[in-house]
Amino acid sequence: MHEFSLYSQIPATRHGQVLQILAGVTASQPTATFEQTLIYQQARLAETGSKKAPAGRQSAVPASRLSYHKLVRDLKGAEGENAPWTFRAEDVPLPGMPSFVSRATTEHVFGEAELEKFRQGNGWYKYINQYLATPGHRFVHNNIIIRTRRILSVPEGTGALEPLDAPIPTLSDCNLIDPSGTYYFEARIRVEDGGNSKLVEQATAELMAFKKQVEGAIDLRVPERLAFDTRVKGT
Amino acid sequence: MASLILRPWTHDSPDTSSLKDILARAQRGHFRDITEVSLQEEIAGEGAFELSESESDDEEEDKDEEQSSAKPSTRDDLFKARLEMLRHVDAAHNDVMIALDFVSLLLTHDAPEKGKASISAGLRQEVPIGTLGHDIWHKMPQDKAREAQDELLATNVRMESLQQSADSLLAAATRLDDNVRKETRYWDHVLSINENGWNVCKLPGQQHRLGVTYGFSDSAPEFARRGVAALNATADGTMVLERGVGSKPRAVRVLLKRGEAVVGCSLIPALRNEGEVALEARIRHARDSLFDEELYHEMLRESRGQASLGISTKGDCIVLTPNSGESPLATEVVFELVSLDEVEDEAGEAREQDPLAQAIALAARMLLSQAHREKVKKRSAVPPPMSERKDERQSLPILRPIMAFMLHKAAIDQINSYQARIESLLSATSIEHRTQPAAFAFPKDIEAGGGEDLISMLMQCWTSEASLVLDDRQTTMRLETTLATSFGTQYTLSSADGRTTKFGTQDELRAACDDALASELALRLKRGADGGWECNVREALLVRADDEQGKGRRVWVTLDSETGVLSLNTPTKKVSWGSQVDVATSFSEAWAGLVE
Repeated sequence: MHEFSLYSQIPATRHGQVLQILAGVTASQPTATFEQTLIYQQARLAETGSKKAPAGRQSAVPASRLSYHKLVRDLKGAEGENAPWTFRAEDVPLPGMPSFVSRATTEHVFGEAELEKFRQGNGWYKYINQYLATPGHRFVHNNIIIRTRRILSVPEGTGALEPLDAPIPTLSDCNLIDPSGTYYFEARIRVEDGGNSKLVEQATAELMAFKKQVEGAIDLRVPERLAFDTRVKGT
Repeated sequence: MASLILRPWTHDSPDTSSLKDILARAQRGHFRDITEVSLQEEIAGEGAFELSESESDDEEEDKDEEQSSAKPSTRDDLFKARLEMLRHVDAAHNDVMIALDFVSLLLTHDAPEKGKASISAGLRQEVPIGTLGHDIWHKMPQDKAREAQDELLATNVRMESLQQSADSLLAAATRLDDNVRKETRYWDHVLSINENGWNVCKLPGQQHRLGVTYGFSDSAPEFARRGVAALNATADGTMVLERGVGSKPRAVRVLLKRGEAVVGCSLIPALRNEGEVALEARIRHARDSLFDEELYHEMLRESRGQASLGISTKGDCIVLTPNSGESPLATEVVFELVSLDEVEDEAGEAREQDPLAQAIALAARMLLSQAHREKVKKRSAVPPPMSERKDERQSLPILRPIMAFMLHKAAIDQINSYQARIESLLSATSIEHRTQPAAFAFPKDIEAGGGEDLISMLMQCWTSEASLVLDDRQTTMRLETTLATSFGTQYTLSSADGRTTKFGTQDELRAACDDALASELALRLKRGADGGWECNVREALLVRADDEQGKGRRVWVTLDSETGVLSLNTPTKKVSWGSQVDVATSFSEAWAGLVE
């Protein structure tokens, strides 16, 4: 599917105020999230490690270069510690979009069989790093998913266990990536089929309308496109 | 030098500038705190100030004169004196030149040549020649009377204008007072409404008006829009809701009807609560009415899609008929939207099923609230990626749980009446038996944390069991009603020899149960009788083989609950018990009699 997103930064002192504003705009309460993300580097190019039979749509995005993929899970959800992992692959954003970031992404929930590929020694993926995103909140406004969180980096473990299976790193050991405590803010809208121009127009119009609505309170911007590049360099 | 000041006579006209301008000119700043006393004090203070000023002026003049007559002692003083003298001479020269110009200008009118010769260049440029004329006026005799009259006129005019300004100030003061009072009352009203829990907010379109929200944000859009009303202040300061909102309150009423007679009716909310202001009563009516109207609307929508469940509309009412095939004596539930003003007080007499009707009304309202909650939850969940599929708005499940409940209740009632008939038959034959009627099964410890728990209990699958025990052999009938999987009640019969069968309608269940009980009775006979009897359980038939006399015996038991007859038959004889037949013999006696 295709994603359109906008980003912003919220200083720590304004975080409470921004949550209030968003609660008013969306007429709902925030959902607390605690996400753990593992970053893997593709070691081998094959059918991109996706177990689903490559339907017409998916094989239209051939992996010509190795890229970084992510495994994400939400530890505050219903299952708590045993939440299933979600696989996420992001493409480089399309060029020529000054008002928002537009990129093709894939997201699937992976079962045990697919997760095997991510374990060490299987030759498909190489583990790079992981980070935690907490405290995090999520709002949903019509079709837009709004998230605010702080990112913490996890110290290198001794690596006895796979990061997939290791217990959750203790929060006191982790450090904020941004020591000033700024929150990272993202507004994202997803479209099933990036080729359907009517849907794409609808989605982008909605995203822009949201940006206008919170203008002044939250300034949504487009970061540099190549900062989202997920291709592995040097291959 | 003498100064010439010309004062105009005071005149009224064109000085009718507005009060605002006059006040600005008065330059007193904010006039809210001015009182008569403070003004008087000021006047007194000013008067003293003026007097003192004139006094100090006089003193200074005397001093000046003294100083100027002292002889200059030093060289500087000499120079100063010289300069002063020169200044005086200059000033005098200036005065003389001005006088000359004046006279020359005057002269240019009558004797232009002479005038032009002496006029200065500067004045020449400023003023054209011949423009100043002169006339000789004889001094008018001093008209004392006229002067006195003029004086009087002037004083009167002055007093009149002062009076007018006083009047307008007074009028402004009263108007201010009025406004303040009105505003205080308005804000008092607003505060009282806010303190009673209603949410006062700013109206999106209009700038200076406040409104009160009483709607529910998760309703359908057409109802959510109606949930705000503006608060308007009338001329005398009281507050009304706009457009007559809340003046025609409506409510949903549940009637339980058996045939044409009303056997139960739900409560109508009171028109005015204790200690409530009319305005708040209005707002409360508006909210309740909006909620009930939405409830009725949603039920109507649901009924259109669920006609197969026995939900139909008759005129303005939604009618639920559980088991429409059954006797017309079954109770049906009728929902209608009534206006509180016009409703006749049907709730005057308490009817037998009033609590049930009230419970149904409450359940419907709670189900609507639950539907709202579900909507919020769905809204907050992460949405799937946008696609072309457009979801139709699902109809909210309000009638369906109520229908399930009514169906189950009807089923239970029928099963219990059936069991009662069987029981009466069995007692007529003095057969030992034990029965347990069916009832709603609730979990032992009901701990409802809130509305959501109650609703989840309402939405569960209803099950009940009725059992009949004959000689320690139990026949059980089990009822399950749920509208999730299939429509209607599922019956399960577990007979004493361990067979379970499922049925869809109650008639089948009854027929099967009749047969099972007949088999039970036959088995019982077989056990009680001495040997030689073969029992065909399925047919409830007891056969004794032909003995030496060539007399075979066949006896069978029939039980028919429709007609209410239990009978013991042989090909030739028949003994029956039942509603029509009144037989005093017991079962065993009849058996003994037949066997001979």
